[in-house]
Amino acid sequence: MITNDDDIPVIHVWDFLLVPLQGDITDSRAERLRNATLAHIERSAARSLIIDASGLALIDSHLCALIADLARAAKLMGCHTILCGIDPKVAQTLMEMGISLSGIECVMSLERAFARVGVKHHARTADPRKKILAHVTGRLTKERE
Amino acid sequence: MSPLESRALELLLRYMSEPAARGVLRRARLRRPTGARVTRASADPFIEELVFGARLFVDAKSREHLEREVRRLTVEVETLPDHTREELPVCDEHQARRARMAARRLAETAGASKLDSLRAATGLSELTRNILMYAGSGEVVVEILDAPRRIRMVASDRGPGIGNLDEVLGGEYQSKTGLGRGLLGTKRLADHFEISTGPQGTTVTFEMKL
Repeated sequence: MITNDDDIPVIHVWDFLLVPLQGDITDSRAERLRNATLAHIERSAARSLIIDASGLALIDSHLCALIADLARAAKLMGCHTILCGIDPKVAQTLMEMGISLSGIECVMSLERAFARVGVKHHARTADPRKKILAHVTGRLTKERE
Repeated sequence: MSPLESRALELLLRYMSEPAARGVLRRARLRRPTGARVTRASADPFIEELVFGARLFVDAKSREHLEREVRRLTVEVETLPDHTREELPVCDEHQARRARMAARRLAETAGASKLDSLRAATGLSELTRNILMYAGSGEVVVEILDAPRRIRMVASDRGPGIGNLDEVLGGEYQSKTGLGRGLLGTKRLADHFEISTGPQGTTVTFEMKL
């Protein structure tokens, strides 16, 4: 199930939600996304929330705080948040600024995030699930102005 | 293509076919002006190369005329739009986004690394957010300066000023919306950082070597 909320989709896969963040996100869009995601968690009773930040152009203190907020709220609802795909340049910038994302589990890639929520990868060429997922994530091209 | 290059191409096209004009331009580009600002001196080798290359494609009669016109570009150089400086209003978050994209673009065109461009954009993002949050509106000036090559961003507003500046820069302040670390984080990214704040407004100057 894919639901659009002003272009940022919340994708429901089995018992977890996948939120791929793309491009340059304005504050109000990020806030709408947070509210939409929490509503989704309630509706779907998802156990985990994967936030994929690999497509993000920039992360600053506000977006960091918002993601941390979302993770804390999700935790109160019994949903574990995993953040993945932080760009090395973004990571270095955040570190230099003294901004930490404490309290959120971070993994390097989307694959590892999937592994973390119990999705097993079988090295078969024709895995329909993998194909569907590649199709879905491929469609979410980077937003450019 | 820089404004100088597109002017040159436009001129060449009046004398020769497009493939020929582009060829001449490509060759001259190897000697294109470097540095943040195109000056007469830095544009000279480029223009001489254009004159030299163009000779091959025009007949003797129009050659002289073309040479004169190409050389006139040198004079035009100083009136070309300056692409190392942008002034941007910040009244809403879309303009804030435009501003941070401009910072990134200017840094990248000035030859900065991707990391430095991202640093500049992130720093500016924090500054514009402060403008929107505490002053409502303001403006940002982004410019590339030489010696040493650096990006300077000046964010100013006519808001109520930052009353607890020491507390904010000391890292003790915790705002409701952010981590309260925006300004402090920006300061850490900068090589030179200056704030003047008062009841008439706030001006933050951020400089980073590229």
